[in-house]
Amino acid sequence: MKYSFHNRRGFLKKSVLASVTTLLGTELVFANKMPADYVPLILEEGEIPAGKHKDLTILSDRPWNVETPAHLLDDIITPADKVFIRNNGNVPAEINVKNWTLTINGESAKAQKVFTLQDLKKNFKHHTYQLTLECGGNGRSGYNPPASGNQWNEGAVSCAEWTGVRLRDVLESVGIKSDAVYIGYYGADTHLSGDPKKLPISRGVPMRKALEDETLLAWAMNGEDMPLMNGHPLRLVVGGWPASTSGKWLNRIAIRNIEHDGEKMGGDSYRVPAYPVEPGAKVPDADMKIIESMPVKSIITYPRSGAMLEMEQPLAVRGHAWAGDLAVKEMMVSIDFGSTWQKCTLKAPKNRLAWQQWSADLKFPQKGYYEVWAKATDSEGTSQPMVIPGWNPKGYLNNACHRIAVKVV
Amino acid sequence: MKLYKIQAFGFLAVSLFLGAAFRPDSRPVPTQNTFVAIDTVKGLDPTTGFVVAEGIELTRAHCTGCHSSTLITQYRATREVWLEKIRWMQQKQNLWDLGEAEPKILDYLAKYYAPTDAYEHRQPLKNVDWYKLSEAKN
Repeated sequence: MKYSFHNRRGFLKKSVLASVTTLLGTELVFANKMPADYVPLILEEGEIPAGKHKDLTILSDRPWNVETPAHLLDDIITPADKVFIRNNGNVPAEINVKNWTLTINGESAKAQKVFTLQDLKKNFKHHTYQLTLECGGNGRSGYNPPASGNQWNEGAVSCAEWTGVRLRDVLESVGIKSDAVYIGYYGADTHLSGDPKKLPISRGVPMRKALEDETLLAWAMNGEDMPLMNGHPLRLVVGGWPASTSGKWLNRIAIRNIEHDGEKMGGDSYRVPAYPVEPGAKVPDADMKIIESMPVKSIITYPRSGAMLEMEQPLAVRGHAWAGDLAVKEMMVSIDFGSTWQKCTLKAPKNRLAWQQWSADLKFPQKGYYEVWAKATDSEGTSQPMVIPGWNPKGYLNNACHRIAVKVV
Repeated sequence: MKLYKIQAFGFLAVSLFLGAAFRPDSRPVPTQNTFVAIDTVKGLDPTTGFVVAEGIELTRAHCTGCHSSTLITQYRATREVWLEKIRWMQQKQNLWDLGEAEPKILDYLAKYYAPTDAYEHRQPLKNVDWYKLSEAKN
């Protein structure tokens, strides 16, 4: 199967006045420094990748980073077309499902073993879980000073139903040495610069997370092949942790005897200061720690922000809440900027690491402008902050209360 | 607003440059892979979304080789921090030496993609698209 997903159309729909060819010295400057096989994509226009909902928000088209507005996340199980895209590199140009293999190796693997997709499907028990995947940088746009990277709002999160085999079963079939510390994944995506020697991303998780029941080598999302942009034909799904640990287009997993040292495991990538820092601070590498479980968070999926209603009209609000490795034990909403809170009905998760549904009926005391704020509390008593949490260099882990605007007219 | 000034300036500059060649229905034809097209409404280059101003060509040539222009337009930083990003890309991501273009690109980024100073305890919700709930489809 071959996919074509870059729509490089000649030109724009917007009205344009004119064109000028200029550049003067520019071409000389970069022509001799660009890779030989590089074709400038100056005319590229961003369009939603095939199979994704037209109302998703494109943050970047090279690499593809596309978020889902909160009101489109209303489904309990996120449909494939509404699952966000967070890519670090270029999607593999060609996916050959028939010949796709997964290699297990590494210092702490007792052997090296290669599995075809068929081997995985035939030789191991299948498991299906609803798993919350949230980008570590979800909410980055809230930080000031701004943190570089895609300026996600609330929508870099999904909870689809994933089917595959347990990573544990596959690793154990190969044999795990007693000195195993971490797994590191490798995928078929390619570096943005076109350099075949560089990897866009190669992250992983400690063995304790890798060996959990819910950590899957998945081939299906919601009972079907997952979209190309989400990792088809095989990916890791590590619920509750930064979604960058759920490697896509997966072709190798190394069982490491050290903390995995792949691309984007060090520096500021997916790491936060080990102690609170002032906004804009420079933090030495040695003081940064890897993000593990994501924090407690919730979103309002109904109504869409901007709802105007009549005085007599009650408003049934609803959404989802999740808490990384933990569960959500309580959900509250406020219509008076956090002065008073109303307890919501909160459902249990379908399985561990699935998001939970909440709802509440709101009545407004008089006409006017309101904000509905939503606040979840996890099973250990930790709640979402109402304002932006502690600043960190790359703007991760913003779990501030989601807010929508409502007007009673 | 700052943007309007930029728009007026960019529009004027390009109009002057084009002079008699201007035709309202003309379609831009890329030549040697490069051209400037002006979005008359926003003063932004429609292909990249960059502010049309001095430095756009160099920025586009060097910065959109590997990644989308939106990685720049989404972000705001000081000149110093933009330089840090360039150095990081040179160390980690195969960005080439920008040579004499570097200060010009930094001038452009620091001027048009500078941090905003407004920061409130609770920012007003932005871009609220008001609609009647009773008439909404979802």
